[in-house]
Amino acid sequence: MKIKSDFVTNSSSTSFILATSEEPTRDFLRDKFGIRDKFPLDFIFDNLISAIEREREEIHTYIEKHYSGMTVDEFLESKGFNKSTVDLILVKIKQGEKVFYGHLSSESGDSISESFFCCESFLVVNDDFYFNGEISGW
Amino acid sequence: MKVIELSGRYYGFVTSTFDLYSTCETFLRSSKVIQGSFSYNYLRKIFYGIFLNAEDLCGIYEEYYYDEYYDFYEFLYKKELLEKDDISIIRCELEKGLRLLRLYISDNSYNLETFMEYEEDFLEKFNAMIQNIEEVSL
Repeated sequence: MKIKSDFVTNSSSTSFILATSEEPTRDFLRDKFGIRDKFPLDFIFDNLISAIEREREEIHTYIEKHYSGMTVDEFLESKGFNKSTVDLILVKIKQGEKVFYGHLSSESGDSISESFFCCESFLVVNDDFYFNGEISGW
Repeated sequence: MKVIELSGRYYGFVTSTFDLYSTCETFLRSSKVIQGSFSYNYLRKIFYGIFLNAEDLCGIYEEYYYDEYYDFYEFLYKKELLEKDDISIIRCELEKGLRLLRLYISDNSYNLETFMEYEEDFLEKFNAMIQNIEEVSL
């Protein structure tokens, strides 16, 4: 166990959107992250994938649970995503892609990797894979 | 090639042929991740976050402090303010013909340094990836 002895920062929680053409299994996500073989630092990405698996929820289900009455575009805009992102997500939903919403937390306690990515800003866009953590980052 | 933490500071041991760009390319190839992928970009970000703006302490000593201090180890003790135990660790590495870099990770990425501080396995696994890199790139 480590005890933090210097200043203590506020915890942070940031949103991500994941859109895929197929079920985002662990193997699918490793593949889309570009990982082909095991290597010593792959745990960083495996821990991120674990956080995604744990936190992701189909976006309509998420909105119904937590923001009942809101549309997808109203919800995403309220979370700070820009109009072009919102429009893209609406297109993906219309095209039948699986769209998920979730959070990464700096204090989930599950992995330091999750805290790391929680404070980063990233966007991955492929034909069959979209992963947006752009509004993350300090 | 190796990175160590001594008294809260990070140091790198490299050969005289160390070049940030080409060594990073070799590091990325060793991971076998797909070029341009999410993991590729993050591994590159991590590598640059560790080595960007590093100072060659051997070179600084030879160029500016050679006449001022009895030897490099006195320079480390009196100028770099390292403890004698830490200098002994450095001496062992330098006797293998390596050069000493002072790393400024927090200047490059506060998030990365925080990650390295709390992810206890990181340095061991990072070193496992870089330990034979320069032999490969030569």
